Amino acid sequence: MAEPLEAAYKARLPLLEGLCSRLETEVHELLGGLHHIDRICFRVKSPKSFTEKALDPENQPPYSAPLREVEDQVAGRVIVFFLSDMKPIVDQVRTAFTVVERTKRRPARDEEFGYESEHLICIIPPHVKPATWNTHDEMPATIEIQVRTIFMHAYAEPQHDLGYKASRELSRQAKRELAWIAASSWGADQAFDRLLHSLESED
Amino acid sequence: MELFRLHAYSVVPQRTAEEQIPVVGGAIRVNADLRSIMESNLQAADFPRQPTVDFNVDETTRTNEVRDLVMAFAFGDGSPARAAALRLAERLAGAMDLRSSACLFVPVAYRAGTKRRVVLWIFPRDEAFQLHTGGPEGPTIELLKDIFSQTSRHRKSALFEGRELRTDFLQGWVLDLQAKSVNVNLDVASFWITRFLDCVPSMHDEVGSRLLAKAVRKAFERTDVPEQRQQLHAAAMAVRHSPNRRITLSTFANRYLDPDIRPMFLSGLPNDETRHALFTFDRQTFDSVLQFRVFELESGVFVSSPLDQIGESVKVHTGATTELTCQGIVRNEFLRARHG
Repeated sequence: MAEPLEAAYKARLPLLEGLCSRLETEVHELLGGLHHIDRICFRVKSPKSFTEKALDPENQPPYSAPLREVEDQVAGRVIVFFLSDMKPIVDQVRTAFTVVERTKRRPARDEEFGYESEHLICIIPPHVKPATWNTHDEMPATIEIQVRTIFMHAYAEPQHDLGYKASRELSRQAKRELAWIAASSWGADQAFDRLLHSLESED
Repeated sequence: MELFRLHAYSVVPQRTAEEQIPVVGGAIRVNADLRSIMESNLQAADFPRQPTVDFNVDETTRTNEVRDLVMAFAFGDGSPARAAALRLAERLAGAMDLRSSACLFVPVAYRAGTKRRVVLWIFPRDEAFQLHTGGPEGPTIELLKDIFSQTSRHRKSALFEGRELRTDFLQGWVLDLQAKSVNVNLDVASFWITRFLDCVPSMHDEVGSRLLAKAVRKAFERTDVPEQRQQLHAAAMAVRHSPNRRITLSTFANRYLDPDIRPMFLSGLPNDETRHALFTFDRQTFDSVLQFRVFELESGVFVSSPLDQIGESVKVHTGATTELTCQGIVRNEFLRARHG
């Protein structure tokens, strides 16, 4: 099952890459007037990563049409300096994209620290589709845009990499180390935002 | 795809009505003639060349009443499908005010494997003459009142298709000639897309206006024929002043550009879907991208200037009144009718 799916995904890669490049240009232009943007980058999901996600036995319910249903085949990230920069980014994204889902990812319990980010699922607008996009039957209808601060990112990326490398469940010590990094990142974001507002109010 | 379900309801506008008139109708047995007529209507609608719209879904639940009803009509069994069609008809009545005529609402479902397509039609009520000949009193004319027009420019349609997935039926195509016509206000034009379907055009207003400005600028840079440059400039000025702010890039080309320059303008657009995407023209975005400023003088003279010439060959003096002087060598002169 994995091989035909991966082959089908690979066959569409040039179109996905075309979309990815146009999206990145579009979002750069769209957010060009806003301050405190550290970086904007888009990527196409690798065939291996796509197949693993599509066939993950933990998917409930399982994907019946993964080429259509996996929504982060093309995804982008906007990384900003301060917490209060996130809302203007989301508002501006809405001026060009129809958002069908908005999720603020954060730990389930208030006393926990962990991954934080804002995820937007957007319908792909007409003008960023490569010319032959609509002639293929199973192209995705949506893309994902993540908005996060530098500190959210500073926690999320290494944490993801470590989790990916770990072949077994993390030890209690490793979990506590990660929680401490997440808490420190959260604290740094709060402190930076307080500092920003206090300096702005002095002006 | 195989047509497998068709309902029809007579719908009277209810949005501002004092007397409540229920919708009436239901499932229709589809014979060969009706199947053929609906197929002809589908072909005539030419959906691939119509604007796309996105359902305005709740961002936490990914639900939208119309989308849910359309999917229930497509995938549900008899009873849920009937309930969905009736609710759509009632919603349509509630979205229409007295500026719209009564109509026939026809939801149609098609299938192919696990895929479904739903086409929603409204055919406005009309009147027609029927000539009777061969009677004892000679030819007579009968006025037919309770009929619905298949060819009216006020007919509307929407097509949605996909599988029963959370990623499908988020987007569709709309046939709404009224929304693109010149003399119609935005509220009337938006009844089908906004109030009934609860959709938004897939091309958002700022994006469409930005693309239009970029396409004009790109075409301007690609030609060195003075008449073509003049025409592009006149078109840009005309669209800025047009009362009809709902537009597509294709209608802009057809309305304001001569046939010799249209292909150059349209070839600069990314794809066909973009050409036909509907948006509401946003002058501020358009001006900021086009990098032109336009001044209207008391004398009725319009002066348009590239932004980099403001303060150079075009000087604007601000005092009790704002005055403008422009000096330069005339390179070309044109006599043109103004575009509408």
